[in-house]
Amino acid sequence: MIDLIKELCCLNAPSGNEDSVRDYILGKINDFADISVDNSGNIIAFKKGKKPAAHKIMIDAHMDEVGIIATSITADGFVKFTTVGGIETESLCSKRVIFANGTIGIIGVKHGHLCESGELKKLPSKSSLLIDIGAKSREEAEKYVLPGDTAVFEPIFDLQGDFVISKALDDRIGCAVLIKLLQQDSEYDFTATFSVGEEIGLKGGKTVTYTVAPEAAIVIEATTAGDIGDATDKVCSAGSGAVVSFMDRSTLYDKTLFNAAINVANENGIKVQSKKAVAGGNNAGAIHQELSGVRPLAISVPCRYIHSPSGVVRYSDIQAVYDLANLMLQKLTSGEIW
Amino acid sequence: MDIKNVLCELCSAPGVGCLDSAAKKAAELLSEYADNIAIENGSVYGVINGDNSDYTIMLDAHIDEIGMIVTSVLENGFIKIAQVGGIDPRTVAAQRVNIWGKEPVMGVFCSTPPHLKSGDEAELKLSDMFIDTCCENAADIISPGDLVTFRTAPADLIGDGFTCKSLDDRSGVAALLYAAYLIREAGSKPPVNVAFLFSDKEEIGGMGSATMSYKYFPNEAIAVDVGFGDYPGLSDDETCKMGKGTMIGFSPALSNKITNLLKATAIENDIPFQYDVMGGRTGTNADKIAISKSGIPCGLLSVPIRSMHTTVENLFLEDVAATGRLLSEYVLKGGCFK
Repeated sequence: MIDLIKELCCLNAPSGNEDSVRDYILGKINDFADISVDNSGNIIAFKKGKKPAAHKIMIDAHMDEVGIIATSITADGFVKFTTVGGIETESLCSKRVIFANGTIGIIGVKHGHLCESGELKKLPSKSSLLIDIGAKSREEAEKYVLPGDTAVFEPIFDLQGDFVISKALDDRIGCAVLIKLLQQDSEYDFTATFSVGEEIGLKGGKTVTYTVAPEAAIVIEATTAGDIGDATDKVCSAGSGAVVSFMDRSTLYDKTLFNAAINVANENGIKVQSKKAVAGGNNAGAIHQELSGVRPLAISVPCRYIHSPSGVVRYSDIQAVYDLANLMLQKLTSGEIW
Repeated sequence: MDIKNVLCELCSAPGVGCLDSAAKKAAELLSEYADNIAIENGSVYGVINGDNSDYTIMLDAHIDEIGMIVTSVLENGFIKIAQVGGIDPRTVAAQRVNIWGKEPVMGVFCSTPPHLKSGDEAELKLSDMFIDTCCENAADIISPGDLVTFRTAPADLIGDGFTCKSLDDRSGVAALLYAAYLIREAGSKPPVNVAFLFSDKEEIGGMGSATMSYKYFPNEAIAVDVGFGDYPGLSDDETCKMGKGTMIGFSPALSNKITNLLKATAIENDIPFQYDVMGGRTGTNADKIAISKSGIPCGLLSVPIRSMHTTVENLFLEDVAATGRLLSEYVLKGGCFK
């Protein structure tokens, strides 16, 4: 699964431009499920199991990552931009991005030596940041980048023991988990969805739920791990297993499913943790309130420095998420848990 | 000589504190043109012998880069660091680093999770920040006193734009190597000895150039460093234009004769140059060289770069070439004071 994750993470697919990831996923699952792509660009993959399911279950991951979109080109050839999805200023300052056509841009700063001392001690304003592609004029820049062009963080994928360092772990990990689930035989029918536009407001999550109309949905995500430095308010920790949420900023999760997931994990020796704060949000926020309601469950990988060029996760946590998602999918589709 | 290739090799080699890969790489590259190359206390020194062996012009660029040093190793796999040279605290979040412990360890500078961000931005201090070692047994491999460098690979921008960490001052070193190449191309011997000094420790006080100037005491010298390239928000007075040639230093702390001869040489040879005017202290090795022993007349050339002291430093290769060319033409005239 690590090769899948690496290839997925290195693709360039910010919200609204998920094509490269969609094409990659279709290539991996075409032989294993009945596929359709809806009006929004979501992939709906119906997996035929050996038996029909007791309940209609949807398992979802989103294809898009956070990125930037060019808003204008200055007379000097710099690219002004705004973010696609939530990216903190510190994750943009002094970082490299890559546009869809391969143009590399750097988000620079005024030389520190020339800043007033107060200026050096705080981040510049996000709106003042500029992308330099090496152009000497607007005319030259416009041959490579135009307003509306999108870019993502430079893809650098590092593995060190159990640690994975990369952009877009949110949510290419989820995509990889779903691909693996689809590539193996299933006892019961289920529907896997790869959705668009999560980072800009759970767009695909909403529309795909309307079409699939499940009774319950499992969302596979990456979520903020706060176990860094000397932090006490950790939310969840990398290395402490799959994260099952009872509540986040958009969803109060189904208590039965929450309890069941924790129990199933414990019974099967899968490391599991719950979030220690109400923080973050994911497609469950849109899914659970669509149609006449869908019962939500979220199983996530704890990810440090999420929405930055260098997210950090533990491969053992990815494995735990996969194992727990697999078991919960089987137990919900069989009707053993409901 | 392919300036870009040389820059790639130089920038990829770590060189701060006791890490000497950059010095060794620079010495290896210099050995193609100069003789009697030695590495002394981290600085590289070599000479192209001239017809008049009693007169030496020394060209200097510093081989050290900014980096960090480990101050403490926490049990949970995080480390704290102090800067070695000026690290811009606005630019470190989510940056990848190499930690040079018993073996190299890939790490990531932490960034603050959104839920831990308070409305009031606290002052950015390197001493408050942590590096994630992404390593389970960090304390076995990493100790206080180990060096840390940024992990940034070279990349092409459009045209002859180029970006990498450590262009300060590997671009100066590249300019010197280009000058050495051109001097050799011009004929068997220059009129005077040309000494090449790739000095250590410029970023922490200029000790390398001070001690090596004392030891070798050339007749005159030209220091080559990086200068402030133009950027929105900075005035024309404090910067020079990117892509418009080498920056000739004009300052009371420099030798007027050398400065004027550099300018005349540039004009004579159609080498693009710009005025880099300072009221006194230059902030480069020239300051130390000029007051060595009884004094060494010293000039200054700079390669304009943007975002100095960050991982997204960038330049135009033509400015490095112009700098190297001006040095070679100057040296071939035989200097100022014979």
